[in-house]
Amino acid sequence: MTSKHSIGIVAPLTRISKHTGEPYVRPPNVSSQIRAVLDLPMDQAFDLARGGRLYPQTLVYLMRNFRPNQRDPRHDAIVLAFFARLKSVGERIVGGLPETQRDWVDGLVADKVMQWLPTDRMDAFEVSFKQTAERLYLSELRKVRVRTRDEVSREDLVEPDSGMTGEEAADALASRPASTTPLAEARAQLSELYEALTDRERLAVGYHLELGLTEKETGDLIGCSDRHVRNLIKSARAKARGEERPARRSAGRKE
Amino acid sequence: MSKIRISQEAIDDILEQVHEELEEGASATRILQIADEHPQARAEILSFAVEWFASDGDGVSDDKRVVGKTPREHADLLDRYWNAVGPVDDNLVDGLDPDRLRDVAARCRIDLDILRKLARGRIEPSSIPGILVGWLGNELSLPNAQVWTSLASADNRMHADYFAPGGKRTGAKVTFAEAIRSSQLADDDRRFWLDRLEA
Repeated sequence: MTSKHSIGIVAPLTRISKHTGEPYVRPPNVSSQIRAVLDLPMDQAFDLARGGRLYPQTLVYLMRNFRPNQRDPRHDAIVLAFFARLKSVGERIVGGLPETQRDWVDGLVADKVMQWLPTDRMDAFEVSFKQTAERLYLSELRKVRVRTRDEVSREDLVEPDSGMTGEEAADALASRPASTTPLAEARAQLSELYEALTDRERLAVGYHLELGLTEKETGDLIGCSDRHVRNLIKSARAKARGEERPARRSAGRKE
Repeated sequence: MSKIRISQEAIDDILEQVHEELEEGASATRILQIADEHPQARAEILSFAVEWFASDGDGVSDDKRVVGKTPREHADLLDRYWNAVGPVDDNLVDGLDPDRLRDVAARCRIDLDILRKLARGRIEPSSIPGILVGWLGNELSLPNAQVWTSLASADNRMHADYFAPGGKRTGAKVTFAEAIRSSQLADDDRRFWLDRLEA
């Protein structure tokens, strides 16, 4: 229920999208909930936010617009609820990583949020908390991969290939959509296969087969030789065909 | 290829665009086009797209009510948060003449006595409805955040106002509902607030 008395008092978002040139706008259901929450005494509003009973966007609104100048237990509880929610979103992305790398990504994401806090970049969380949190985690995960890519274990290497090229190895995934097909569609179609792939196999498939980069370019981005890229593609192809592969340690694959 | 450095902020803006377009159905061709448009961020764009592609797209939807686990090292997290946000100007009504204050109070359906109590920290801030914060912000042309900061930080001014040499310092706060009940407000304004506070 929208309170008519709350209309016009919700602080507007001020950030302009660099992509579209349009101002950020909250979803209607979030705006409506914020207006309804503002009808309440603030302790009840904070309790609802802390208890996870509001949209995360509303939580962020309260965190940004109802902050005292000194430490306050109620406000602290909302801040912790925010970071807990952020981490919940991130778990889907980094949950399969070793704990040290997971903590590393969590830390980088928290660092980025701390930089954003005094700025209008936080508006993005009020538009879509999930999408903004995912973007932060994907971006910081990428940085951690770059920094750790030279630490490949020998156990990750597959057997020498039989001379098959990467192009030939792509036939198991040949039913992939053409490169003008939305990647979201391809992702949905391949989601079951991806569950079976290691992190490096997923990256190799993504760069070489989905984006169409050469094996060398792919190797440069992953941090391995083009030969190893071919092996990764071959391994992914075998899994797509349901063939058994020798057990190998995969540091990042989610169980 | 030129190695012109690009700021992290610029990269963040580009990745925001990439992310939006991927969620809206961008193809590989389109992603490569964006990467060609921003050669200094090519690696970041391509690797972001691949990481996105490798993620399963399912996550904690904004529609899902969730109580996450309290983060580890939360004390350190809170210290960093308070250092990051910094203080906000907490001036609310200083410099306004009584007629203006009376007008602001009336427009916000309270009276001058209640407004003074709010400004002097004699009303528990957490008992104040958010709608009053918004109305005060509109009337005083202040951001809601500044209004709230002022109301929640009024403790700092309260004792200075009520200290009397040799006299008793009063630190008692009342709730907003108590302030309304004990006020001289007209019945319709009193009911307006009490209907919300006692619901």
